[in-house]
Amino acid sequence: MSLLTDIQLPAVQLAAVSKSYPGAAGRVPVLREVSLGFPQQALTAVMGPSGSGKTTLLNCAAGLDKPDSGKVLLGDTDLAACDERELTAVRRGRIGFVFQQFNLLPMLSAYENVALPLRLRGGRVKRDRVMEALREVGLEDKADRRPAQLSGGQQQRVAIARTLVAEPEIVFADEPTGSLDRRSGRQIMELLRAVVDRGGRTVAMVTHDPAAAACADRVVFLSDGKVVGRLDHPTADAVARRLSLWER
Amino acid sequence: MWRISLRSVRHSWALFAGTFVALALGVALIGVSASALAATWAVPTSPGAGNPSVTLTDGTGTAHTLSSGDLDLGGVQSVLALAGVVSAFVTVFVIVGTCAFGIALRRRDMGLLRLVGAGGPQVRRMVLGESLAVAVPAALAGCAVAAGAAPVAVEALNGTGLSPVDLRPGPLFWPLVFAAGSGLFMAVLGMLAASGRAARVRPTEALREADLDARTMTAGRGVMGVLMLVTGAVMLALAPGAGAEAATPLALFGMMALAVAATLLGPVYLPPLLRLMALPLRWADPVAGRLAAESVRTSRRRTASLVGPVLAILAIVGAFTTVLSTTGAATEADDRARTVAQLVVEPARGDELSTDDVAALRADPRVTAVSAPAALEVAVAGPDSVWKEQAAIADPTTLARTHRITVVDGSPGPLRPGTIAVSREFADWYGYRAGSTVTYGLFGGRPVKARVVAVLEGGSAVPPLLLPPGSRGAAPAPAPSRAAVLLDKEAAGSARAVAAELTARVGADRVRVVPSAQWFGEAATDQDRLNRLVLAVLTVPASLYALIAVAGTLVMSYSRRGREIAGMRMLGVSVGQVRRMALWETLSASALGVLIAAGVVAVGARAYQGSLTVFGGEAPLSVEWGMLAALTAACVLVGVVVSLAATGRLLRQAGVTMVTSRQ
Repeated sequence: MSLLTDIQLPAVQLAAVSKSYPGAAGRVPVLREVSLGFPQQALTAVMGPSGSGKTTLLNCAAGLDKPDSGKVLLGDTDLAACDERELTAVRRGRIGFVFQQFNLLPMLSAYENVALPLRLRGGRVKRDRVMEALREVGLEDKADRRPAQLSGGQQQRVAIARTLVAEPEIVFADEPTGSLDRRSGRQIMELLRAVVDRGGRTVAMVTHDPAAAACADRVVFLSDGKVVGRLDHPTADAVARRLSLWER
Repeated sequence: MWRISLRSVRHSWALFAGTFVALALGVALIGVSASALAATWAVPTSPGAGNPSVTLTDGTGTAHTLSSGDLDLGGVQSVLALAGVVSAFVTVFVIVGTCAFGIALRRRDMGLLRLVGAGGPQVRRMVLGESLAVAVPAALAGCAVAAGAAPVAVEALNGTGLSPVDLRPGPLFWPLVFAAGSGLFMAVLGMLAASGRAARVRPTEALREADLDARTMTAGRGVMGVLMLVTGAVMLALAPGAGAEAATPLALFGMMALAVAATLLGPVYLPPLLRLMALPLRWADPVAGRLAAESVRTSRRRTASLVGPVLAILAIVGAFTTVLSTTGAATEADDRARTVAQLVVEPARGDELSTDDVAALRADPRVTAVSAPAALEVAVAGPDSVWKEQAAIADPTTLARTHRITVVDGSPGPLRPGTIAVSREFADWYGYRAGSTVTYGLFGGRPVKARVVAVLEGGSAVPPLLLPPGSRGAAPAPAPSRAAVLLDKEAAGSARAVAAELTARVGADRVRVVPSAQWFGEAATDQDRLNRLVLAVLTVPASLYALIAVAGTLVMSYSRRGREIAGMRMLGVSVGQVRRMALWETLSASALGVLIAAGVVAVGARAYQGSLTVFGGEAPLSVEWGMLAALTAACVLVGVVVSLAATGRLLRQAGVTMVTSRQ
């Protein structure tokens, strides 16, 4: 666990971010003036009931979605003001993604998937570097497998290896343990922890699994598009208690 | 990105199989047409230097020498060129469809690439790389097929008798280069359009579960669609007043433009049409029909890619057959309406009626008039060129008695040397009036300057030029190949009996006399046979191609439906219901294609019909119902067989694993 202080600079800072989607009866607000920082070199978990805006928050923070108003600062870059070309450059070098599903390109082997960010940047791909990343996630012997030949947990680990190789400033994870069994889920959380502790990087994760959230340095609770609470150095029990409080 | 392109092609081969097959066959078809065309060019058009020739000077002072007996390969060449156009049209349709469809099925992969940091141009490059990885081998395969098929095709062409001489397989290299080049061009064009769409895929689309087709209507598509619609509408609107020569291309290309517009604008009008079609389906088959209705409605791209080839082939075959057969029917109706003469006389042997025969006919007291135009070819000099034209030595006054001929300009009288009469088509096309001078020459003769005394309109009874008697070049004066006989009023009622008597009088070994109606019937059958041959050359290869494209599209779409079908099975949808769903889907999509094609052809045919003039009435509309019905049946049959086979394969694989598996 890293020590958390509010003095620590945030890797990504959301300032008064609002976002709404068109619905049947006008626009439905999903995020209401959310201000939130993801501290550097820490694992922050975002929790909340279904429909509370967790995924939208993550998408806005990652520059996948444009907020209606507010700022999203990655370092000193305002993602909300970037055009598609600038966002592509940001995704290529500064942000990594791990998702619940559909993480990997089905036609590429595990090795090729991990090497992809390097190829997209251009220049030569160093085999050692890719293999090193696969070794860190314990899959160096599965380098030639296709995603379809890997288990869900293994696919997730390949996705983590891909973020390792790209060395991003921040990794966004959306329900990374969502479709995994308990053991694979624990493995993934250990790896994400290692990304922070040993790699010295920042992870922002959306989850509804208290056990996963317990591995975070800080849990932020979201309800109805607003931040409604915060828990530093959480335990699974404390998270579950807080959740039952909000969901009552 | 090249490496990713290759892997992507290898991984989703079924998605590219459609494009590969479509392109390979398209290249093969174009290659065969081009090599057959090259074979006609390879024929020496001037077989003998000893043939009589004539040298004319055009309006610019340049002398041109034309020889008689030159082979006229123009007819077979235009048929082959049109066959190439038809093939290219259908190929473009199919390639653009399969490319767009292939991209639509892989939106998630594109989104994932974007998520990992691929820029729009990089995705574009990857997609173009894929298209090259498929197109280059496909073009080569197409060339190989064309090289094998070209000699067979030339042989088959000789069998049809469309070419005046037997063709020998010509050079292959350049036709194949041309075919491969145009194939690659079409593939890159199709992929460029599709790759623009791919590059615009947003990264968040990687996270969506369903391949929903949102926003299939884009601005570019809309603009192109409206442009094509306007082009087609203007062409068809102009056709009725354009005259016979210009109406044909206007009608054909107008219909093609409308077919393209119908495809491009599909997203606008297909949903309501599909909703309408869904009503009976839901009623007839509550579960499977409802599933099918929803599936054709939500997977618009899948539906569109099946409607596309069906629409393209039926529209183009419908357009060509209708224009050809309507032209034939109108000409025949015009001829029949214009013919006053009750009897037609043809030589019993050979193809020339002797002067004695004609004189013997004229000598019969019941015969009022005998017109026996002797057809020949002349060279005509225009302002900047010299060309060959059909002419006949005939007397306009007798011709006007045996046929209903309208005098458009001037006054017809017996032609004296130095005067000629021309047909209205000739006068309109080249800009002659009564009183203007035409320079023409008979082969082996000298240039003649003649004054136009009359412009006549008489359908095929009046050849472009009517020459005065005694016109002759090196060859002996041509003899007529048939005569039209007008009987007096008393004899007219018993034409058949008079025909028998006339035959007996001149000699059954010399002439054959038949009533005009019977003669038209026989001539029409011959013409029909020839038309059918032309149509077969034009449309059979392209139709086969479209059928294969229909099959390819279905293979593509079913390659991605394993999970969907397994899910249905898990929810308790029976095997029979899944099969019926597939059946309804294919049937309703094909029916849509047929309907739209029918609409396009109907509008075009109506416009073309308006451009044809028939003496004393309206041109009849003639549609090759049998051929179109057979083609429709073939499209539906192929669609049904392939979709049922693909569904069967998926049903056999369907298990719990398919639902959870990561495709």
